[in-house]
This record gives sequence, C-alpha cells and structure tokens, in this order.
Amino acid sequence: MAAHLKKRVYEEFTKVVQQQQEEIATKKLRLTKPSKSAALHIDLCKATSPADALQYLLQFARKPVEAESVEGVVRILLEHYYKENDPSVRLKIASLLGLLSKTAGFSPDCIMDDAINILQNEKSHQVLAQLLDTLLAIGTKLPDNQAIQMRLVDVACKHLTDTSHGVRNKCLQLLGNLGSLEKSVTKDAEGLAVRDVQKIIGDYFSDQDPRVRTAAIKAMLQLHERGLKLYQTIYTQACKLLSDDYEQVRSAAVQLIWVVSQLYPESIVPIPSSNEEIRLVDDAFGKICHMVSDGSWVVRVQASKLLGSMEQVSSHFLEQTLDKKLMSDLRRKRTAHERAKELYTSGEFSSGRKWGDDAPKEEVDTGAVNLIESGACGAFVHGLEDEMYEVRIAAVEALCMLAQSSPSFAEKCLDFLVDMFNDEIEEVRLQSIHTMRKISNNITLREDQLDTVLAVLEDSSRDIREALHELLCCTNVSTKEGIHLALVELLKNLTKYPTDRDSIWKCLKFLGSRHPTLVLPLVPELLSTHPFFDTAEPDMDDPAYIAVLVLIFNAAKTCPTMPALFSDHTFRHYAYLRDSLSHLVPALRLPGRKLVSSALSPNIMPHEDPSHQFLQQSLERVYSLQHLDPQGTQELLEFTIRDLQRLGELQSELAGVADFSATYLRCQLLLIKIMEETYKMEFMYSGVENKQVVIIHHMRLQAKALQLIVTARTARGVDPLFGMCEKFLQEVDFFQRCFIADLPHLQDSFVDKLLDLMPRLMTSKPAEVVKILHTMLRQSTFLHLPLPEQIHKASATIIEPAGESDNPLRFTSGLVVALDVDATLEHVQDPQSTVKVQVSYPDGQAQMIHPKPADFRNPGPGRHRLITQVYLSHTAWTEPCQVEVRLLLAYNSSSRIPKSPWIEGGEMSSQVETSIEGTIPFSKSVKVYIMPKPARR
Amino acid sequence: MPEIRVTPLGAGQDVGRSCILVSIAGKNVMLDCGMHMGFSDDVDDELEIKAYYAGHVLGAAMFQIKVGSESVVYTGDYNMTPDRHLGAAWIDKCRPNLLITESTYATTIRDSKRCRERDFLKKVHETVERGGKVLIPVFALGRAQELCILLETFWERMDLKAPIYFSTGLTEKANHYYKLFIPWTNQKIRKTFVQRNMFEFKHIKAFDRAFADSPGPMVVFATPGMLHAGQSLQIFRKWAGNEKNMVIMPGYCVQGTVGHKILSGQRKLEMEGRQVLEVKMQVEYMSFSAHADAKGIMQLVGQAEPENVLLVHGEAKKMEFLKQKIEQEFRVSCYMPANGETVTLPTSPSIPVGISLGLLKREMAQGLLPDAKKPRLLHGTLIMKDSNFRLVSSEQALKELGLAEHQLRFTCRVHLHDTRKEQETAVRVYSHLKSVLKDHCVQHLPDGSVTVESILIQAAAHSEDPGTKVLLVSWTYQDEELGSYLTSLLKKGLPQAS
Repeated sequence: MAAHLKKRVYEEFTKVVQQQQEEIATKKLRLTKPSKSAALHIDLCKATSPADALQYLLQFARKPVEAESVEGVVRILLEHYYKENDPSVRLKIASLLGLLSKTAGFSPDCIMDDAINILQNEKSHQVLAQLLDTLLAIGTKLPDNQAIQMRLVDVACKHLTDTSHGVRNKCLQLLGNLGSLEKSVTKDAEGLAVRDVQKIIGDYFSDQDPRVRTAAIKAMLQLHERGLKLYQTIYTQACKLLSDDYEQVRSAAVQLIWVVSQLYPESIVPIPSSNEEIRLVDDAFGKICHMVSDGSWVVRVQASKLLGSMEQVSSHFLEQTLDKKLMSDLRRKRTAHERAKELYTSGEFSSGRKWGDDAPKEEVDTGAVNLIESGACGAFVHGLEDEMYEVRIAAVEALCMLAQSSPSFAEKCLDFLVDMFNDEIEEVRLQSIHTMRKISNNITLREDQLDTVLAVLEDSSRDIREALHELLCCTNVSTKEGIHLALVELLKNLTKYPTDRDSIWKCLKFLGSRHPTLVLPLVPELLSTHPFFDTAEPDMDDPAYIAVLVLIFNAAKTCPTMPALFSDHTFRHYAYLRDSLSHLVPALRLPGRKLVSSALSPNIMPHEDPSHQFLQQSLERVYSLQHLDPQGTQELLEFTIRDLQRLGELQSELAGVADFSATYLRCQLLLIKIMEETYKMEFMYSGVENKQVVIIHHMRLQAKALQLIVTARTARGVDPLFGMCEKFLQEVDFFQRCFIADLPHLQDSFVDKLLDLMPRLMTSKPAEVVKILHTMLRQSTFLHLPLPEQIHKASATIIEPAGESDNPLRFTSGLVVALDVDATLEHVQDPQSTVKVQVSYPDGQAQMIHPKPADFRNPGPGRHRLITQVYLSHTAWTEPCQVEVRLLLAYNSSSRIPKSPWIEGGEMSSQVETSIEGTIPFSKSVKVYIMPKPARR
Repeated sequence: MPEIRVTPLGAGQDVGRSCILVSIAGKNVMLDCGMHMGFSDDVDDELEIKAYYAGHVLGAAMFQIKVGSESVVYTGDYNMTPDRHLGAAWIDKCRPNLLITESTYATTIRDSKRCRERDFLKKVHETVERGGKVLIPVFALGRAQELCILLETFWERMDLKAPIYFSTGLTEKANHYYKLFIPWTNQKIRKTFVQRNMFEFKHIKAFDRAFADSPGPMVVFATPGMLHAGQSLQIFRKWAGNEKNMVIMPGYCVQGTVGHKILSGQRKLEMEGRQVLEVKMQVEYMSFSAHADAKGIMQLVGQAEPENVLLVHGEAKKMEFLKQKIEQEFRVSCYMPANGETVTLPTSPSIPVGISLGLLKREMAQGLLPDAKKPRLLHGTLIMKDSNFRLVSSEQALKELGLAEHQLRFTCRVHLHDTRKEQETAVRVYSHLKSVLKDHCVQHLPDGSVTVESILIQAAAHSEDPGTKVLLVSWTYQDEELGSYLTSLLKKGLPQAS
C-alpha cells in the first residue's frame, strides 16, 4: 500500500511522466492475472484519453463478473485508480467497485482497506461521494462484522465535515445504514471511541444544505427501521424541521415525527408558552394535521397518509379534524374546555351557509381562540377539499383507517365521506365508496345520508355503481323509509342500466337479510297486495319484480311472520326462483308447504352442520375401508362420489370441499384420466395449500408410472422405453427435491417406496424398472387427503355475449369485428395471467386471446370481472354460423412450486412464469352468431 | 432610515373600491388601479415583480414587489380553497417586509366546500324535478364558470335533461377565454383536457330573452350578480311570483340592491313606477364567493411569513377582529389604515457583502460541526468601494490597497519573586504553563525562552533586586486574548516547587 501512496504522491507532482509509467506497468501484470481482469487491464492501458477509458469501463460494466474473478478485477481497477487523474474515470471506477462488491458469493472485506485508503487521498467531492457509496455497499454486504462496521462509521464521521453536500449526504446514509444499534458497544482494541450515532446524525438536522438535512432525517428513519429505538429528544428537533423552507425536509420530518409518536405515544410533552402538557401522540397528531395545509402537495400527501395510522390519538383530537370551527385551544383545553364548547355552539365565525351571520359577535377572550396552533382543527376538511386528488385520496384512506378503529369517529366522518361521492375525479369517488363499505359495520346511515348515497346510483360509470351496490350490501339502514328509498332507487338504476341486474339482485339480497323487520311493514305495498281484491299476477320475468322478491324472500328468512302476507302466486314464484336463482333466494320454512330442501335449519352454525358431518363420515368411511376387495372399494368410491356431488349441489358452502373430495376419489378410480384431473385440482381451486399440492403431484407421479407400464406393455421396441424411463426417473428426482419437507407425511406411499428403491432403479434396465413399478403401484396405499381450511372452486360466467341473439354479427371478411365480452370470475388467483378467452370457429379453428391486465376489475375479495373486447375475423362464409366463446384457465404446474429454476428436468428457463403448459375450460361456452361477408370489389 | 409607506386610496376599510399607493425604497408603486389602454409603462430596472397564482378568477395573481432586499406582497383577491375550475392560491416562503392582504371574509370560517356544493346541487335538482325554474344571478367571471362546471358535470353524471342557459354577452366571451387558458385551471380540467375541454359545455346553451317565458324546468345563469339591474333582474321579476321557482344567490350583495333585500327576508319589493313585486319564489343563499376566509387568510400569512401585515378590502369592524388574531397568532404587527391614512414601516434592509471564497473556506475549515445557533467570529477586512462591500482577508486587503503590514506587539513585564537563576525560573515557568495550558503548544527553546503558540516569554534578572526575576512577555495583536490571559496567569505567581 505504501508503494501505492508513494506513487500517488509522485504522480501529483509529475503529471507528464505518468502515461509512460502506465505502459510499463502493463507488461508486468499481464501474465499473472486471470483472463477477465487481464482483458480489462489491457483495455484500460490502451486508453489514450479519459473518454476512451470511460468507454472501456462502461463496456466492462455491462458484462457480469464471476465471484472468483472479482478480486482480480478489483485489484486492476484499483491499480488504475491510483494512476488516473481524471475525476470522471475515477468516479466510474469507484462506482464499479461498489457494483462488484455486491456480486453474490464475493466477500468484499478484502477490498475495504483499499477503498478506505483511496478515500483518504481523494480530492474530488464527487468521487468521494461515490467511494462512500461503495463503502456502503461493502458494509451492507457484511452486516455481521462489527469491526468493519465500526470502522466504516468512523470513516463516515470523519468526512461529515466535508464542504460538499454530496459527501455529507453519503456519510449520513452510511451512518444510517451501518451505525451500530447498541449504544454501549465495548471499545475495541484499536481504541475507536464509541460513537453515539443518533447524536451525530441529529446534529446535521440543522445543516445549511436542505439535501443534507433530508439525508440526516432519512438516516434517522433508517436507524429506526433497523430496530434502533430513537430518543424522545429527537421529537423537538423534528418539530422544528416542520417549518423548514424545503419541502423534502418537511416531508421527511413529518415521517420522523410520526415514527417518534409511535414509539412514545404516552409520554407527556409540554405545550410551549404555557404550563400545560399533553400526550406526545396527540401533540404529534396536531402537528401532522397542521401539515395537511402545507404549501407543498408532496408534504400534504405524506401528512394525510400518516394520519391514518395514528390510532392511539385521543378521540377529542380526532374529532376536531372534522370541524374547522371548533377553536378549542390546546393551551387551555383543560381549564377552558367548556368555554371552548360554548364558543363552538355560539359560532364566533360564520359558516357561509346563511346570509348575514358573519357580523362579528361579542368579543371573545383572544387567548381562547387560536386559528393555527390548534392544528388538528379541520385537517380532514382541508385534506378532503384539497386541490390535488392525490391528497384527497390519501385523506380518504386515512379517514377509513381511523374510522375503522373508532366507531364514534366513523359516525362523524360519514357526512364527509358522503360528500366525497360527488368528487370531480372518479378515482376519488370510487375510493370513498370503498372506504365507506369498509367502515359500514360501525355505522348506520341516516335517511338524508342515504339519500345522497343513493343519488350516486345514477352515475354513468359502471365501476361506481357496482361499488355502491357492494356498499349497500353491508349498510345498516335505520328506517323503513330508508329501505323503501333504497329499493326505489335501485329499481330506477335497474331501468336506467339493465346490465346492472345481477349486481342489484345481489345487493337486495343482503339488504333484505340485514333488515327483516324494516322490510316487513313494506311487504303489502311492495307486492301490491290488497286485503280484499286479488291483484294481477306480475310478470315473472320482469327483473324489477324479481328484485323486489329477492328483497322480500331474504327478509322472510329470519322473519317467520312475513310469509303470511304473501299471496298465492308469490309462493309459486318462490318455488320457481328458489330453483332458478338459488344463490339469491334462501330456503324458507313456509307454513303448510313441504319443500324439497328445507330440511336444513339456517340457524345451525356451519361447523355443526349435519351435512358437514355427513361429508366427514363418508370420507372417513372410504379411508378406513380401503382394504376391501377391489370390487367393493370401487363401488364404495362410486357411491361416495355421487353422494359428495349431490351434497355439493345442495349446500353451496360445502360445494368446494365436497367437490374437491369427490374429485380426489374419482382420481383413485380413474387413474388413466388422472393427468387432466390433477391439473384441474391444482389450478381451479384457490386456497389449496402445499399439503394438497404434494398429494396431487404424487398422484400425477403414480399416473405417470402407470403410463410407463402401459407403454411398456404395448410398445414393441426398447428404444422409446429408455427415454421414457429416464424422464420418469428425472421426475421422481424432481418431486423429491421440491417436496423434501413433506416427504415424512408420505409414509408408506408409492413415492416413499420408490425413493427407497431409487438407487436400484437408476441402474436397472427399463424392463426391470417397469416390473418394479408395477409391483409398487399394487402395493402402494391410499393417501389421506387433508382438507384445506378454505377452498373455493374457480368458476366463470359469461354475462355478455348472452348467446340469444338471432341476428348475426355481420362484418367484411378479412377485417375484424370487436365482440364485447363481459364475464364474472370467482376465486381465480391472478386472473391477469391465467384467464384466456377462447374462440372456436365452425371449421375447427380455435383462437386463444389474452385479455389485457387492465380489463380485469376487482369488485370484491375473490371476485373479478372481465370486461374486454375480442376481435373476430374469418374468411367469407356463405351463411351465418355460430362461433363458440369460452373462458380458459391457463396453468403451468411449475409456476406454483417455489424455487423452480430447474423444473421439468431443467428444460424450462426463465420463461417459466409466462409459458402455458395447458388450459382448463372453466366456463360454459356461449354461441355467437356471426357472418363474415365477402368484401365488395 | 429606510422605510415602506403605504397609503390606501380606495381600498382602506372599504369593500367596493380599490387602489393602494406603496412607496418602497424610493420607488412609488400604485396597486390595483386599473390600467389605461394605449399607455405603456416603463418599469424601473431595480424593481422586481413576481406573480403568484391566486385562484380567485382565471388569471388572478398575487404580486411580490421587490427592490433590493425590501419587498411587499399584494394579494389582490385570492382564494385558498380550490374549486371546480381553479386551484388554490399558493405562495412560497418569500418573507416579505409587508404583506397587504384582502380581508373580505375576515370573520368567516366556511364549512367544507363540499357541503355547500352538495346543498346547491340538491336544491337545484329538487326544484328542476318538480318542474320549477332556477335563477342564479352571477357576475360574468369566476363564479359563473365554477357553477357552470358544477352543474354540467352533475347533469352529465345524472343524465338530466332540463336545459341550462347562461346569459349571452360577457359570460360567453369569458367562457371563450377559459377555454384558451387551460393551464391556469385546476388539476382535473388540466388532466382531462386532452379528451375534452371542460369548458365546451354540452348541456349549457346561450340564453335568449324568449326562453324566460317557455314552460318547464330550466336553470339560468344571468348577470349581474346582485340583482340590481339588467337581465338577472328582468328574469327575477318574471319568475318571482311562482313558489315552485327558486333564486340562488351565490355571493355577496351590497346593501341597497334587490339581492340584499330579498336575502334579508323582504317579501314585497317596490320596483320603479310604484309597482310592488311580491316574491313567492324560494330564496337561497350559498356562499360560493371565491375569497379566502379567515382561516385561509391566516394560512396565507403563515405560508409567506411576512414581517408586517396590512389589511385592506374589508369592513373596519371585521378587520379589527382579524387584526387581533394575526397579531396574537404570528406575533407580527398588523395594520388596517383607512383611505388616505399612511402607514410607515421602518425597514432594516440587509446589505449584501461579498466575501472572498478563500477567506470563507478558511473560516469554515476551523469549525468542525455546523451549529446554526452559535454566532461565529470571523477575522477579515471590510472594503467599501463604489457602493460595493467586500469582506476579504487582511493580507489581501493590504495587497489591494498597497499598504505594508504593521506588526503590533504588546510587551509586558511581570515581576516574580524568585531567588533562583534565570534558567531555572524559565524552566519553572515552562513546567507551570505546560501543566495549565494543556491545549496549547508550550515549548522551551534552547536559548532559555519559553513560547506559548507565538507568545514569547523570557526571564531576566532584576537589575536591582537579585531576589526578583523579571518575566518579559511579548505577543502580537492577533494573540491578544491568549496574551492577556497569560500575563494575568503569571502575575498570580508560580506554584511553590515541591
């Protein structure tokens, strides 16, 4: 090193000679270095100008370097670094050093000394900053090495006094990332004084450069993130920064204040210029609220966002945020609390809603009214009417979070949320509707509020309307007029936008079941029954009439007196709807009527449900009786499958479980069809856990073994068998690697035995392998399939095209026609990449279309809606014909398994995520009548 | 003494009129006085003018007038709450000497704008649904456009069919300008501008006199806003008799106008020609005024951080209230002169002094940590030349002025009672100083003298009294502090040798 230093000093005085020295150095080094670094070295030596050298370095940076050769490359770079007198080249070298030290598998401690050394002699501020960055990279790579961290922190502290903001920035960043977390680290042998990192960083809160101040705050936040408990004293420092001239400083300071308020919510801070004290979290809340009316919108967004997570704040502070007028002053809140209240009711300030109320009233004690300091006052009012919609959305989100934790606040903020339904930006409207839905458990809507909410039903945006339907599903309404109003508005909505039919029915279902007592008095009016006269029977297919019935039937479920009000045709309609729209119409216990599926009482909790017990029993029966003679097992399985399927049809909540089990049993029966079925099981259900995946894969493996045997029996030659055998063994190997953790659960199974015999299989001939497999398959026991907690079958319904039109869609052949497709998807995970639209033409040609990710909307958990356009085209036809449209679920078995780079015998590469292994149709196909006409010449 | 003088000519404690005269650093500036077409004014070179967005109407601006380091901000009319077509007023921390702000709504803190909008829309919607007509008297600029946008989007969202009209003339022309100056409008209009210019109304058409008599519901925007003359008054007279109709006053009405009368609850109006008009239609007031409310004014003052605040454009009583609040809140002095009354503010303009980079860097290098609170002492020479101030190091100053450097040295004799030889005394002095002055460099030179930094101490025998030694202490002017400390230290005597 000393030699280097000497050389460096020498260079500084004799700049002319330098180039020649470089030339000489080449010859010595070339032979000993590995090829990569050598090539770089030669390149660098060839460089005649700094620009050239930069070019070489840039080229070099594009290629990755293996961990083994990193050190060599670093040495070469350092070598050149010492010689180089152009700062831009040195800068690039410094940045390369940082990049290289990040290389996986390379331990950068060996280059740290050099990096620190060159740092000490560097004059250019930019290069210094870059070098510190490199040190940061080295330090983060070695998080466990205390000594190195100490040393780096020491270096950073030394350079903190640099005149360039860039260097100070990097130093602070380094301190934030590497500063030791424990305050009392024992002094180490080199005698480095233990530094209090927080104190050092805190000193730079008052740096002259705003960028450095920001970096200091960020470093502090970084310390917090790494688990260091910040001192409470930082709070006062941070508060001062709130009035900084620069927005990035203020924005960071808001974050810091938030962090401290979460750390010490209950400590008491004094209010300046008075002798009173309040909780720190309240004080911080007030201060952050104040920032909601900051001059910079970046700060406003930050402040609004953070407010949402300050749940410990006292309720009276929280409620002030919704009232601009409430002037209760922090300073006097205990002594003059009543006075403040009086002030509020007396209305010192006018509201601007009534004419002539702005004449100044009686003079109030000026100490009692404080317009600015009582920061929390009206913070949300300001936030919600902010100029930038980013701020408004952040404010709505914050409201949502706070309202979820405080029911009384939820009640109060309702009016404001309702107001947001009229925002000019659709995104904000949507967000506020969603927010309202989230807090709706805590609130009951007043009639006037409901009125405003319902007015939005006329909105022309479908997303808004559907969000609103979702909201109404879980809203509490206080009066029967409210229910009536909601029904009327929903029906109005239905006539205006008939496509909302399903959504409205669903909405009314929940509205009915939530408010049975409120619906009861409305029934005669809604059904237009008359005490004396028989009224005309309404049209059964009228969506509006169905909507009314859905509301009533769902209310009747928990209100046994209601059916007495029904007229005869209502009962008939009930029977019809119960069959046709069973998901909307519940089973009712109707007097004097025997209903097919009314045996189940709705009050019984799902886990005590007899049908659930039945499911369990039938499954257990199958598992326990597995040693029956083959004929008996098969029969038992067939019966059980039938039972389960029927059960699934009857009990929608058990459909997933029953169907899943049935499918598994069917697999046992039909090992030939197992490939398709296993794929279905894996990809059609959401909520399948790893335990199940193992068993599914195990099943697949068995099927493959069976396939192998079948091929071996039928095929004549031995050659294809070799390949198949090898492939099969590879798959076994793969299975073992993927599910190594689950293997203990697979005791006595096929794969368990198979793995025992693996060494033998590897060396055996195909014929022998087949023989072994054959015996093993016979011996293997039946695996118990553990039921997952939550399982749902993926399904899809195409709403549009309805497939009823007799008018063919005409278009000129060779051109395209856009077909609107609208479908609801249930329980599809990641639909953006898995759901495809298939169009099959009469000539057997089939087309698979990938909808755009933006075409999927997510109206509620587990549900998606696909609204897209499909382009059809074909050559000319003589007459119209039907094409079939259906939805496919694309799957790729490897994508499900974690850590999958060597899947399927290593033939898959990085495209694993995108490739499609196969598809499962999961919707009914819809026929569309089309007619491509020949083009006119 | 430099000062800023402000004399309101029309705007002092008065709402309707304007014009303010400001004298700043010898320049006279007339604010809010209208302009005379055809004249072009020359602006002084030293005068800097900066405009800030004010949000009141399209193109409204607040101005910062700056001469040297003295500055005044005049807000004109501004609005701190964004509305449907304009953003909110914004100012940076320009810390002017004086902020002259309007104070029309000095005692009002408005409710959330959204409540008002919702109320407004609800009232209009209800009236239209029951077949009534809605009259909204507006001024041509500002509120008219805001309400137009509000109703237009509402009509569009709710798919309503009733016609909306605005009176021709000024409003139409104003709309044209709104269409042109999209960058000055709010976020929503700017963002959607590419698809559609929001000021190209779909539902709003130009009004014709004949429409007033046509049956069925309608909404009409008509000028002027206080119902004192013109089209709005004509329509009002036609519709006043029907209780299904409604008039919505969206802003302030001056006393004496029809608007003010009906808002105060008068139901019978005397029109010209002794005619009495009975008002049966509903009268609603809705403050859509685009002026900042008390909280908005306070917010602006907080943002700009001025040294003084001056209130104009407001009623004296209300201003008094706000003045109190400002003084108490921000601890700045606040003025509210009447017309013709002059306010004089002494200013202490800062005088820029150039410092040589070398000197600055040298001084910076001495201090290790930044500490804003601690003033730092700096040695240098101030050169004043052609109204130009420079701070340079003394060496450079000497060089520039062609002067030779004089050394100023203080010497002092300290008598010590010591019977030993001079050398021994020197050694004792050396060890004493060494133990006391730990941070300084104390040296014992071979010739027997002791140095502390650059201070020289020599011991000599007293010519008369052999029991007394004389210590000669000598230091330069620069080391005065250390030197005097040393002498006082030595005067106390040496500790007894152990």
